[in-house]
Amino acid sequence: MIQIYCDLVFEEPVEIPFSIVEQLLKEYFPHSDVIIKSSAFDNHFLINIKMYVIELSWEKLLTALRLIRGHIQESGIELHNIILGSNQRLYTHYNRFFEDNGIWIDGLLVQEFDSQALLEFLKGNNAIQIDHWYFISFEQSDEDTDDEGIENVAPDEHIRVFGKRVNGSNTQSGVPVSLKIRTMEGYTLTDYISKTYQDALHPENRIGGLNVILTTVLQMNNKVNLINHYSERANSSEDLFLFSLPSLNLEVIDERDKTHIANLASSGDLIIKDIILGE
Amino acid sequence: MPGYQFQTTITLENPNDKELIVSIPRGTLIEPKSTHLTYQSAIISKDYIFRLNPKEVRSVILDAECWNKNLSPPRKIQGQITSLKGNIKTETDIWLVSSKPKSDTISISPSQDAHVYSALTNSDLNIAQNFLSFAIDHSHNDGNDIEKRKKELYDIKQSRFSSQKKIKNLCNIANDPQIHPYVSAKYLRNFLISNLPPTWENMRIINKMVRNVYALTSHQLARNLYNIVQEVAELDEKSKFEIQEENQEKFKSIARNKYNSLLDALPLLDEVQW
Repeated sequence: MIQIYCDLVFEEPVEIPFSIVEQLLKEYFPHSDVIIKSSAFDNHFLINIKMYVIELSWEKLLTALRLIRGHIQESGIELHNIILGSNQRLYTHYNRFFEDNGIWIDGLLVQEFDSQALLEFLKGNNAIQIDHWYFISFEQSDEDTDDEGIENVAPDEHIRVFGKRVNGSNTQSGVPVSLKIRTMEGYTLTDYISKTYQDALHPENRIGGLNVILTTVLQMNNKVNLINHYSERANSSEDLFLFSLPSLNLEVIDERDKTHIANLASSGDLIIKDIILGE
Repeated sequence: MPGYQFQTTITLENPNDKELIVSIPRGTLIEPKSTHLTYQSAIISKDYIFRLNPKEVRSVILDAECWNKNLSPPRKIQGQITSLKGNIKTETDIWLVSSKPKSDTISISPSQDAHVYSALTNSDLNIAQNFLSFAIDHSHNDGNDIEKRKKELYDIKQSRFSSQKKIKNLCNIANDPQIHPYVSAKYLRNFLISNLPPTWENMRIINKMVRNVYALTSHQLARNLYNIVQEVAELDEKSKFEIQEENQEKFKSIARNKYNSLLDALPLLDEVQW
């Protein structure tokens, strides 16, 4: 088992359910043991995470930590630093932590792993060495999600072909992929959703699917509020990730299952007279 | 467990003259009609099987959970069946499934080149940089003057550009007519054989690259390669849970064989219309 210590550093005491942090870590390291507690240091509040993992993927760890930070920031709380080490903290006198906000990786940890993969990983993430620490600035990681590379895309044939390829069907596996786009004025959200996903759904119009896809796409983009305007022709652009069905954790039911309610309804062998959601 | 349960009532009619078996498996999604999209969709939480008599009309009540974390709980809202199921086979925390994209999702941009090198840059920047260096050396050995490109590549390696910008700049160099023939799948195979031993970690990187290829082309070959990397990924997962060293080695050996087949088939990508 590999042991990793991770501290989340805040300016003041915060109330963040540890379960959320644990959930996000477990999503990337399902077979890990995670112990979380809190402590205080030099007027700062720390959430201390001790993690035992079978196998460590640095990329996954960084993604999980960025997601945790994103989640915390969304609730209006400023996360100053994330500090990673393999041992109990030895940094009590290290003031640089509070000057630059980002992810600090203890050089001892790097030495301990002595792994080319880790060094390559640090390089790939533009980590810089400061004393015996490796530092990945939050600004740098935010840069990756900035405007650069986001292209205006119309809900046209290209999007339809892309959707057909990545969503999968009964005869073809889909692939978890997302297309980063900027929507264009004059089109509705429905235009984008139907163009991207219609081919994957049952051609029979008695069967739905686009509504739940629309709400799931917005949910995963953290843009659920757009649901109020989904059928309006937009007069401004919106950055959106169009996730493939496998990425949305959705799957089209097997059309060979002749007893499935959706297949029966689409073939006309069953009439669904009414569906009422909720009491 | 986050979320909550509610009930969904469906009125079914068997229009036929014979008995009809209707199954509604766990994971089936039922959505609100378009007029009520601010309400949550329902995901069926149990497996149901009903037998409807000939011409019978019957209402059934189903246990469901809410799929959408941030929408309103439905209260007698009209719904419709979908041909979709949520991936909750091994998960009881529905919102964990419905709120975050699958963890191995790869992100591509609309203008990404439909080319194996572009797929590689989107999978591992360091390997992509090293491969480009390899390609530049080969181009140089064949008498091409590509000093300027060499310098550009060096600058990219030293830069603190965002990964998007690095990808764009690397692909620009790779598209140079004097370099492009050397970033082919055939050259990539040679580079991988001599520089990337088939460890699990390296096989995962190539797995990601092939998924990128599959996202960029509909060709059957990409589908076949994708099937191979899925098999390698399954062996990788199995190996993690295997205690006996002997079995771990067995899985690795099978995975290596599959990985070698993948490398052997890679040059065929140069011949297909992407």
